Amino acid sequence: MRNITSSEKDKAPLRNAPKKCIKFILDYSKSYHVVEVSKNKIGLHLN
Amino acid sequence: MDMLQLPDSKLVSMYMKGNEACLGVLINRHQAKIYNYIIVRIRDEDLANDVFQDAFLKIIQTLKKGKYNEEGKFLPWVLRIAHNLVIDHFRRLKRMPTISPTAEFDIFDVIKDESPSVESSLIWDQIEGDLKKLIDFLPDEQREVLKLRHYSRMSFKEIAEQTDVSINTALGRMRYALINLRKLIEQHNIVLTQ
Repeated sequence: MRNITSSEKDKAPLRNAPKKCIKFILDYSKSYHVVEVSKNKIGLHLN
Repeated sequence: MDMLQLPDSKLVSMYMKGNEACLGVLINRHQAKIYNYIIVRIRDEDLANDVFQDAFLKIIQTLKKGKYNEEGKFLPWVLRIAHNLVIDHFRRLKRMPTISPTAEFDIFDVIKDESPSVESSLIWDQIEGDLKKLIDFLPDEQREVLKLRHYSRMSFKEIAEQTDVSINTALGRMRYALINLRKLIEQHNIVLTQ
């Protein structure tokens, strides 16, 4: 079995992104739509 | 189909075809790595939150416009976007230097906020309340002159006309009102300063 080095032991656990940020991103995604106008793709943010 | 078992590339392609749930899976899978990549460099939680969100807004826009073409390399691509946003943040910071307080100089010694603090407003309200109670102990004529002068901001000429006495009498009543107030303050051991 591989030995655990001291630097690995000392590593702080990863912090999670705040839930409010994730919710904001998911809400944004649901309301973001792309339409094609004259062969150009335009992103629209529709609530 | 268990989406949690799907590789990033499959989730990305399904999301690009309109499956919104796939984005949630991708975010949950990688959010900690991306968030830590940002916060370790920026060291400010609010700014890190903004950069994290901005990174995903760019990702969403790119994916929904069908411009993503790095198959199988979703996380490195996201980290590169986050990295560029972190660089943008430091560039903006360089353009807008901030002044941090030192032992010798604090900008707030120069720029002062003159508005009273909540604490000083509360103390002032307390002092005013105590003073009003003391004024009620004064004889009627003295109390009347003091109130007209301090609360109605009237001149002694106006007070004299209002109370139908001479100016000297009004001045005398004010003088005795203040002397009596001082006595009352001393007797009651009241502190009327902040």
